[in-house]
Amino acid sequence: MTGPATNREQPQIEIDRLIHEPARLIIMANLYVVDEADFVYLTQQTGLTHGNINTHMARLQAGNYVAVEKMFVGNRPRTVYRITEEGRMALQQYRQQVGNLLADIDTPAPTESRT
Amino acid sequence: MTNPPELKELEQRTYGATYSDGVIDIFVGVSLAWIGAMWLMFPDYLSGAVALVAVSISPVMGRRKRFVEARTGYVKFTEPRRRRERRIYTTAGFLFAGFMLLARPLGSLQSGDIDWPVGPDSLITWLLALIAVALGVFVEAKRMFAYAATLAATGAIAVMVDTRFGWPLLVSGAVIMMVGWVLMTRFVNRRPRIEAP
Repeated sequence: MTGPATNREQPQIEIDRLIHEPARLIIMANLYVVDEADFVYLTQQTGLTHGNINTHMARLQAGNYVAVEKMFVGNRPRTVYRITEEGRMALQQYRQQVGNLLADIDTPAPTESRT
Repeated sequence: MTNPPELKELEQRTYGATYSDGVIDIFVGVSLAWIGAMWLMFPDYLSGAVALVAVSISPVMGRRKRFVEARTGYVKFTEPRRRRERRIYTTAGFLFAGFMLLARPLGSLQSGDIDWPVGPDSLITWLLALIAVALGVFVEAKRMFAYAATLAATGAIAVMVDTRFGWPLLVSGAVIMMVGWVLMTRFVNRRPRIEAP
């Protein structure tokens, strides 16, 4: 038997919190539709600041959702980001989870009969 | 693996945005105007004018890449998208070159006794209009339809007014070049150069 305390520790709805954060979701969505993109591109597409992107990228990289490659093009440094296969699967799974969660949102919640 | 529709839309919008710089439009406009002007003034050198356009494609595209990437950043689209793009541009390039190389022989034929109802330049502009329509469909750039309409219209006007060969290309090229200039000005204003940290 599980009590309320146990319920709090193990939520019934599983949502990938690494992707769930809006800024990270936007970054993941933008990387999902291309092969690879650099820092400037992501800044333009997401509207996030350099600091924001750096912070979120570090977390996505730690979760192995995004691979980073640093290179030089001519004399200029370029940081290229690529979504990993794991990240791709995670985003698809996240979409399914949220879809399932919100699938019945139009259905009125059942009301208890007081008779 | 299929993309959810919202992501597909995001990819299409992103892809479209990478071609909003106007450089290609200016290049195509200048090329058409140049070919049209050469056809008007030095028809014997028409093939040379087309060849000059062909050899300038690669350096212009290289410079465009640097110009755009400094403002929008570097992005590599998926392999199916790139393959499709290569196929479309190669086909369009070959058709363009083929039509232009046909122009001079067609013009020579017309200098004979037969009274042709339509000039070769009108025919060429209509064929180019078809390429523009195809590009509009496949590259998802709606302004291509406007270019197609311009080419078709100038070709038709040349038939009605009976101008010298080359005018439709010169006028269409000037129109496309102006649109490209407007696009490029907007692009530069909206997207300043960004330095990566």
